[in-house]
Amino acid sequence: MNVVVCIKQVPNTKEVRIDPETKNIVREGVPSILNPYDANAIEAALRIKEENGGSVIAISMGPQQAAEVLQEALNMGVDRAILLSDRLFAGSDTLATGYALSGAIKGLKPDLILCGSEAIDGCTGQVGPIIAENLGIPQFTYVHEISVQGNSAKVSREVKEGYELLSCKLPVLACVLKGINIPRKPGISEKYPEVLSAKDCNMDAQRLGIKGSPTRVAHISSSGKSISSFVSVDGSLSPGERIKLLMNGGIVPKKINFTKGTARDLAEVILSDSTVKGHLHS
Amino acid sequence: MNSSQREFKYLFSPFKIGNVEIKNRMVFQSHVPYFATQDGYPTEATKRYYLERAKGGVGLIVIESMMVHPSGIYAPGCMCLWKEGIAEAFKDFPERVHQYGTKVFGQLSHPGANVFAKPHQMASAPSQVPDDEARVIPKELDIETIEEIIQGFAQSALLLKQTGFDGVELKFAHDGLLRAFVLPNLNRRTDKYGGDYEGRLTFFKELVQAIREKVGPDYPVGVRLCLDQFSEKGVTQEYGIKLAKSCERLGINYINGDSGGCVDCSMQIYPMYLPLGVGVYLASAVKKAVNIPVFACGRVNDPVLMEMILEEGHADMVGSARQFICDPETANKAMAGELDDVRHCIACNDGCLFQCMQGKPIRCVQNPATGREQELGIGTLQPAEEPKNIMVIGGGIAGMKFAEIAAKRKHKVTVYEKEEILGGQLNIAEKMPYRAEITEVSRYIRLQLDKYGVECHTNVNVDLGLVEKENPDVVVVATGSKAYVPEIKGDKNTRVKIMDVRYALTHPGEIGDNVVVFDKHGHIQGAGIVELPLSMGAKVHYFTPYEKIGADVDPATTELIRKRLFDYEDFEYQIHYTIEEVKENAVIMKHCYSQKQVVVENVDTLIYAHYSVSDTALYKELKKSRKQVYSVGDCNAPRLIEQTIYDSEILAREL
Repeated sequence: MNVVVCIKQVPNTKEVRIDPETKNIVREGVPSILNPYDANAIEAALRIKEENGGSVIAISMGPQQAAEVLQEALNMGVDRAILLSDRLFAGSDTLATGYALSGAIKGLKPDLILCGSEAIDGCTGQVGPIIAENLGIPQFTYVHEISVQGNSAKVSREVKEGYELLSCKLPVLACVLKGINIPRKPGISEKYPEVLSAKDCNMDAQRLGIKGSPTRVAHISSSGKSISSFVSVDGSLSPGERIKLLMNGGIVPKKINFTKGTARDLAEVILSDSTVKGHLHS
Repeated sequence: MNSSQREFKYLFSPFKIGNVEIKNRMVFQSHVPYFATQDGYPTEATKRYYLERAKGGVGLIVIESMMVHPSGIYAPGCMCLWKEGIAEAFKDFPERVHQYGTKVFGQLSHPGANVFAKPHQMASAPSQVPDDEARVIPKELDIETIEEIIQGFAQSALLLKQTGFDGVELKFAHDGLLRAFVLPNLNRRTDKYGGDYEGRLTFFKELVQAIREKVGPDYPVGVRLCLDQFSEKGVTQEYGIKLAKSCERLGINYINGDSGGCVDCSMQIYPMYLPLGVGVYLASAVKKAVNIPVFACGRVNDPVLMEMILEEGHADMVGSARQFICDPETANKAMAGELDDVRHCIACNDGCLFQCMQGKPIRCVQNPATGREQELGIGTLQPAEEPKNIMVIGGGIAGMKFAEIAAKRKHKVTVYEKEEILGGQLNIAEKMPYRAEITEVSRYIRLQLDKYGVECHTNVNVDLGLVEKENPDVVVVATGSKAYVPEIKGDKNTRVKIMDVRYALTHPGEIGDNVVVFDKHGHIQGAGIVELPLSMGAKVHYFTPYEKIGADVDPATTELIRKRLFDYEDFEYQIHYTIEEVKENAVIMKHCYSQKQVVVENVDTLIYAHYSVSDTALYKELKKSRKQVYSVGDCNAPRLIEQTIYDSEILAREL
């Protein structure tokens, strides 16, 4: 069982700014962290390895500084960590990044590739699926449960009205949600990340960096709404309404129908309610 | 990021008002704590009360409303700045506050018709109009007295400046003469002090001008301004902003937000039934309208919440009275990164508002040092001369508080609790609608127990054998109390399910559809439980022998409880009734005075809010065989959180 986890170093989005000229994220001077979803992907990989044996390799593309998050992955217990770092990668969008990562991953012959559902800086959720497409393997997004049995993976995906349970022959790629697990605390590892360049992986330079990136950010604008974490009510309502709204945290509570009874009675009530029925899978 | 690593970008940055630099953005808001003498002089207790908050690191203290003219005194126990020797009485005070790097302003006020003393000698107002806020018919002020009052404000401001105060704040706020002059329904004058908006503002204009002439252009003069009175005739949000703009135009240095009314103070001293930061949006609206500094307040009980207010740009300073009453060291703890050590005000209003409304010195349910700063305040806790092994039986508030204080004094303390988690009755009380914040009381103490190494064993029923085996030097029994429902005629042969409040809260599924609540308790038990069955669709008929729902609950909380309950169609409410008998499926109530009976038919549930009874069995047994055995909390007598905490604090300091 050979598991590869794709991870990313991201700026702590609580402190991020956008460059008004380039429309790119200003990373300088902003503390960097391991993308939170990726910590869940690492944890999922480690648990699969603990059950099935094999090894876990963490991989990331980025500047030398990104070795920090690979070290964190090693400290959590992955067996190897690879940093793809090369001037040729600079300015890559999701398409070029997906291409570069798939080029490096191909040589690792994975049975399973895990990614975080999205990175908190760009929030595109595209890189995982692009890797899968480049490698020509099946992919699962919004995964909140995954297990491997023999030659196949069982996954549960979060969809609008419930969960989709699927199984699939390996190799597959899965993008995991935060709720999948609680990542373990890192320990101490004596290993260090390895660094690979574009040349080491035999990649086509035309498909990397700015050259390989068709994406252009045309415009970024603020929603114009000032952010408030505090309750507020419209001063033109009557005093009684204002007070009532404030007591309810600024929202009008929905009318709730209460039904009492045994579990069987209640089940019947629920099933006979047409508004409820629409949400249940047959 | 762990909470203790949180950085405060704004909260601890200095801020300038007029020519005064304040070291951080926290304001201890003005309120009358009733430590002054009956004839209006500050006492050493007054000063210690404020100094404790300065010691705890707050940036600015605004001293309570002080009276400026004999025609306006809220109640005996308010300080009067025209009295002879008053400057002398204040002499060393600002200096003592400054020792801690804290700045101090004084609030100047004239109550107008809003006097608290009942009956009052005589109140005065712009016009002889009954104020909805006061139930008082005032004397209409004559021009000479108005001029005297203006001079009173100006003289008082000068006196404070000369005594070393860093600024003054004028109380426009939720009551008082300044507010009465600007409201058209309270000011019907036809002279220059009445008429249109500008006319009604004349009094304030002349007053500000007179103060400026005395104190100079740079001395901070702020206004505590009501931004929404939440009543039909009072200041609205729109009018509040208009007044704020006028203040700015007249050279006022800051607007300190305020809201609500005076007699019904439920929207002024916001109870637990309102969310945290409830008043912030009002200040935020003013902040958008003016260019002078704005203070926000309204259930702000946490440094991170304060930081959020500043970060989101709602205000320049953040005020609270109750948070600093509850934990005077809020600022210092936040600065040291010890956010878990901050004891949050739960807005119960039991110790502060309820006491002060009766003209009694202020207290705090969670902080026994309030009003007892000299004995119990910051720095008074000394390590025990001889550390002892102490076994605490019962992990409710009483046992926990004892353990906290004893452990801080370096005793070795072990707590045994029979339930799965610590907290005792609070774990039940929090299930009451809108009362979940009450468990902050146990959260704070629990973290202190962890911090000071108190060993806690839960799921353990302590018996004599275990005490003998552990053989501690001291045993403190905090076994609490049991709910109690007295015998009712007919209760053996009824289908009505009779339950106490604790049972109802922990077994909501057993509450039926037609409920009688009989409130013999008077505190929150009876008043607070009513909404639980109502919210589940039941019909509730509330009876109490007392004169109102929540007879012993503070007026702000009961006001909001009534506002909530009367919103339900299926709620009925009758006072002066006692319980007579239960029939098969009916409850018979009897009027306390007329003796007439009311039969409530088709009742399935009777919730009986009654006193509890102490659980003293283990205490009595231990007393027979051991020497150092003490009891605390409800085990002594069932009481409220405040008395329980006080008991435990005192015992833990003595041992």
